[in-house]
Amino acid sequence: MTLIMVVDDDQDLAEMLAIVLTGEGMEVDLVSRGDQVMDVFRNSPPDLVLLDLMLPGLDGIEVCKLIRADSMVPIVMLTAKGDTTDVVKGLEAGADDYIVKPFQTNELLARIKARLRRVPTPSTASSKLEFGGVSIDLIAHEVRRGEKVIALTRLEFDLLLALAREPGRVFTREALLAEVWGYRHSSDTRLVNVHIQRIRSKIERDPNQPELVLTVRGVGYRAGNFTEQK
Amino acid sequence: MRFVNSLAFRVLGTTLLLSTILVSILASVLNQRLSDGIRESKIESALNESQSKIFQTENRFTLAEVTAVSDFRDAIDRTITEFADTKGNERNPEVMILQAKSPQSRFLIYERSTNQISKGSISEEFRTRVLATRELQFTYGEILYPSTFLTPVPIERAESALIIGGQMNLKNFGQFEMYFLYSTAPEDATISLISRTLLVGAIALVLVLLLIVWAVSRQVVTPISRAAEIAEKLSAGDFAERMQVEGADEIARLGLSFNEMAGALQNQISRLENLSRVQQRFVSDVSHELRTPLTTLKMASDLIYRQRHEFDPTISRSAELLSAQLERFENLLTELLEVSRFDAGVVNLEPEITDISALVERSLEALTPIAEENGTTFRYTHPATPVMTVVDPRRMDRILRNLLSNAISYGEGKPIDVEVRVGEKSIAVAVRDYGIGLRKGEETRVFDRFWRADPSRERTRGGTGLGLSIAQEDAQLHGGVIEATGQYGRGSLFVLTIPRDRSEELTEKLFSLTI
Repeated sequence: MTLIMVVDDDQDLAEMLAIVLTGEGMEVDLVSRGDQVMDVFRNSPPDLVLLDLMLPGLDGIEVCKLIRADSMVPIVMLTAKGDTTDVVKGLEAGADDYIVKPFQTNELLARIKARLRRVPTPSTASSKLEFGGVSIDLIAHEVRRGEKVIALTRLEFDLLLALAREPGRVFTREALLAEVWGYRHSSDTRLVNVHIQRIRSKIERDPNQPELVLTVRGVGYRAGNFTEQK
Repeated sequence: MRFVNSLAFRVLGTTLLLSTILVSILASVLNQRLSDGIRESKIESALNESQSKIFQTENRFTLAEVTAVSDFRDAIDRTITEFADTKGNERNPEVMILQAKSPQSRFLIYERSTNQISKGSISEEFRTRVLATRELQFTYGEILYPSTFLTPVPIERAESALIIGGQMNLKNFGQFEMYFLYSTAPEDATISLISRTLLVGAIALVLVLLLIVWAVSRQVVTPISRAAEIAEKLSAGDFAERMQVEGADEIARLGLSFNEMAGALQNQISRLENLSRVQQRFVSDVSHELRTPLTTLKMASDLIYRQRHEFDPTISRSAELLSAQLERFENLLTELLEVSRFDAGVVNLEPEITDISALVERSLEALTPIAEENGTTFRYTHPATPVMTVVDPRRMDRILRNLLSNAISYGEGKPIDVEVRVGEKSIAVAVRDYGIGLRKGEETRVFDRFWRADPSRERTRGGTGLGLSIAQEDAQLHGGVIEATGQYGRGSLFVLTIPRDRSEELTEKLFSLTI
């Protein structure tokens, strides 16, 4: 059974979330204080965390960082502000996605499901992709540089995989939003930009001069050239 | 610093001009007066001297009882020789004795001059004048010296001179004229010395004046330039700067009132900043405080709404209304908060290079379901190549959605035309519907907050009345504008135009506002 950890100080909203999520056949752990999150998290590791940003005890951003230090579990932020600084701060702290209050129940469920879903591995493709000294293992969901395993969140893995599978293709941010996040008609490019930065900081030799995930100015991103690999 | 220079230079320039005019008038008048004086005194003394010499010569002839022609000639020669003698340093005038052309003296032509100066020195016109009266006459002319035998080419040497002529009656020999040619060289030298001195004096005076004016203007300009510098700093946002105030003169008063002004500005601005901070905080607090319960409300309402078929019809309908009104409430809240952000001036653009054609395409796709509900379709025209420009894609999308929902709401189910055009300096998106349209005067009012074309009209779409106003603010944030036009019963046209370079003024019009 899927375990969702709901971190929100508003008891009523938390209860409502629990009703809805339980209705969808999920298990729910409710946490109302930021400083209690890690205890609960270690006792019963959830499959996904719904995290409010304004929390008593410990700020949501800090909580996000703590969880990330421990785990690659999907984190979806709940924020009352759509302001860029808040959103970007949360994404940079390690959240995979965010949803602005008030949201539609359907929208929330769609986001949660998108984050829980594994990108199906095409049977025709090989089980391993190599590029620029980085290998992507599609079965073990692992990314290695040499022998060293690089810890990526599921979302980062999916994003990297989407780019690496079609090395010649230039992906617009909107295309990536649709493919990786499952959004339609979204122009929220902040999500893509922040996650690309995070992937770069993990897999590039020099994140300021990326070789694997390249920016195509004015269009979007593409994977670094395969021929460059040694 | 340029300001200081220009002001000081302007004062210096004016001083230079005016003092030059004044001093040159003064100097030339002085020069004229002095040289006139010198010349007049010269004439006076020369006239006296000439008169006495004429008397002297006449007396000599009278006393000597010269009768013989040879004696006469000797006497004339002697007279000329005497006159030619120079006494001391003073230069004597050249003297010329000419014989009047009277019948008496027809056969006795004997004309002599000192230093053999040419007879041409005396003009015929002057001779006529001299002969016409007993009075002495004077004129200015030239002494023409004959070429000396030393000069290979016979060149006459000329010297400007004061020429005095008078009639002379020589006993037994009739009427002669005697001319005295005073070289004016010494006077000319004096006059030119005076002129030069005056010129030098005038220039020195002007220079000294300029120096004084410069010194004075420095005293005035330095505080003014300081004030200008501080004013520049103030406008750049540095309110800590103040002028130094010394003494109690006008400059000090300038400093005092300047500082007062700066202080008042500082207060005012910090008050406004404070107000804006409070506003921002308020917006943020309201946002958070209202949104969380609204989320719970919405989720609860969604849950009930999904199960409405299990309830009896009144409750089921209530669930529908609850859900719809909650959505409306949410939209209103979102837009109110956005409006208050605009009012507080706390909105920021997040520009990115964007393909406008693709962005419009996405907005159209997003609204297609609503359009279909209303029986409307979009007809989209855009340039073949991508329309790349730097905009905030989320705001741009919001503008388009607002324009499109508006067109759907008032388009009466007729197709809606959407077109992107690209100009040299701007990019425009036009949304044209063929529905209700706008009455005269409404094309500007549609952007007013909470304005509705017809208060009695049913609010079918539940619009907030803020959409177009927000869209206009979003457009203005991009340096652009939304313009509207319409005809009642024939639809309306909304054109969003944004400059390609946000810093530039919008001048280009890509759509004509006529339908």
